[in-house]
Order: sequence, then C-alpha cells, then structure tokens
Amino acid sequence: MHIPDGFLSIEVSAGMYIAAVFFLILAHKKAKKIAGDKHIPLLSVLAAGIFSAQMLNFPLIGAGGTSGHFLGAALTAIVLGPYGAVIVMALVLIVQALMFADGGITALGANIVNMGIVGGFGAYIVYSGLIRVIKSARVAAFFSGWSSVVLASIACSVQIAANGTVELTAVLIAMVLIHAIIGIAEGAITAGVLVYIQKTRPDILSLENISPGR
Amino acid sequence: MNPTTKYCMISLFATIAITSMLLPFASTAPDGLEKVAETLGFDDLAKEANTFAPMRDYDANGDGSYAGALIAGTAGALATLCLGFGAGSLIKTTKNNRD
Repeated sequence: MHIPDGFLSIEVSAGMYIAAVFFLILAHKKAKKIAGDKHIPLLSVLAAGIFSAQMLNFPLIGAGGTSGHFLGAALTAIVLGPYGAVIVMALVLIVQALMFADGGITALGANIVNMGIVGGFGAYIVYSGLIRVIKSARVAAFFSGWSSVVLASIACSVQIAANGTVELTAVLIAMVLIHAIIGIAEGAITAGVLVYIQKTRPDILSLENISPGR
Repeated sequence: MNPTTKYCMISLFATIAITSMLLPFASTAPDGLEKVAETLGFDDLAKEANTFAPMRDYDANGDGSYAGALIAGTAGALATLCLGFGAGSLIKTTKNNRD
C-alpha cells in the first residue's frame, strides 16, 4: 500500500512527515537507552529481510486481479518493540522510495506513518494484549500480523480521502476488504517466522524491546 | 563477529536466496492500493515519482528481466542492511551492554 506522489494533499503529506520525524526521533531516544550488541544486527537484518520479502507479491484468492505482499511491521514489533518497528519500516520505505520509486517522495512520511507507526504500534498492542490472555504466541502473532495490515490500510484510506478526490466510505471498504485478505498471509508468515526464531534463537525474543515506558 | 551477527547474516543470505528463487513466480497483478485506485478511478492522480531513482520498479536493466529484478533485489537488500547498520551506529548504547 505504498502511496505514490499525487494522491495526497500537501497538508496531509506535510503533516504525516512531521508525525514520522517525531516518532523516529522518539524511537532513536528509546533505542539509545537499550540497544546492545544484538539489537543492531537484528534491526539491520530484519530491515533487509523485510525489503526482500516485500518484493514477492502473491496473487489474492477472492480478490481476483489483485496481489499483496508481506509487510513485516508486526514481526518487527514483536521482536524489537513498536519503536523498533518504526525504525525498521522507515529504513525499508526510504530505500524503496529513493532507489526504486516504490512509494512517492512526498508521500514517504505518510507511508512511514501507515506501515511503520500504525502497523508497528497496532501490531504491538494486539500482540501484547492477546499474549496475556492466550498462551499461544503463534496465535497472538497471527492476529497481530493481520491487524497491522488492516489498521495500516485504514490509515492509508483516511489520508487519501482527506483531500476529497475520493469518498472515504468507498476507499475504506475497498481497502479494508482487500487487506483483510492480505492480512491472513501476513499473520501466517509472522507466526511462522516467530516460531522459527523461538526454535532456533529464543534468546532473541527475550531481548529488551524498544517500547513505550523505557 | 558475535554469534547473533552470524545468525543474522545467515538468515539474511537465506532470505536473499529464497527471494531470488521465488522472484520469477511473483505476481505482477496490481497491489491492493493500485487496484482500489483503478477501480475507484483516482489512479490517474499518481505522479511520475522520483525520476532520479536508479532502478525504477525493481528493474535494474530496464527490460523486465529476471536478472534485472535480481540485481535490484540484491542491491536493495544490501542498501537496507547498510542503512540499518548506519542507523545502528547512531543509536550507540550509552550504558553498559544489557545483553
């Protein structure tokens, strides 16, 4: 759901840039306090891995003629905390916009907000809420992944509808329906990778998160 | 290099390898937002983004070939990795290692 240049009004673009920069500065402050030996390679490799995974579009069943791709915000939020997710997603989006024209330059702030902040924090809130109630990390991860994609698509829709060229209800329904389907894949992949990490390097999961309240 | 870095590098190479193998099968259908834009009729608003991007649309050779996509994918993954380590050096820990 990378927004290209031209979809957003100047006010929305600028506002989103301010929000993105604000959260990135906050993320940097939090990260500075707790980042250790393991966090930095983890962050870098997650970012590179998510970049690669985002190149693999898969066709959607039930929404013919449309494709989706893995987002990665939920996985990162679970492993590195929501602020970690903001940093990682921002890195990916910056490379995508600058090197590949995937996502607009003026829309970069908005894309970081949708996929990094909304995706990351949404995923984190869902995961940490669910994991308290259900013991299964993989189920919590699935719903966390699903939610991150759907929530990001809602934010995206609101931004696009804000300048009045398209009606909010129309774009919201269309985007949410499609991303509810994409979310299933996101949830499954998030849960799958989490299980892989649990089995191979569980110590990574007990790393201190870059979260609020640190 | 510390064991975590090694684990990360191995995972990264695996990711690039898997991506390279799956790339030919990647769907070329428009993604969710593009499709919605087409259907609702606002896709014509999209401006020609970023004319200085070296590999537009993940196509290093400009011919839609697999090689072009592979080069683009590898370059992007490495660029992201480097940017990550760059960001990491900005986030230097000020306390003792908590690990």
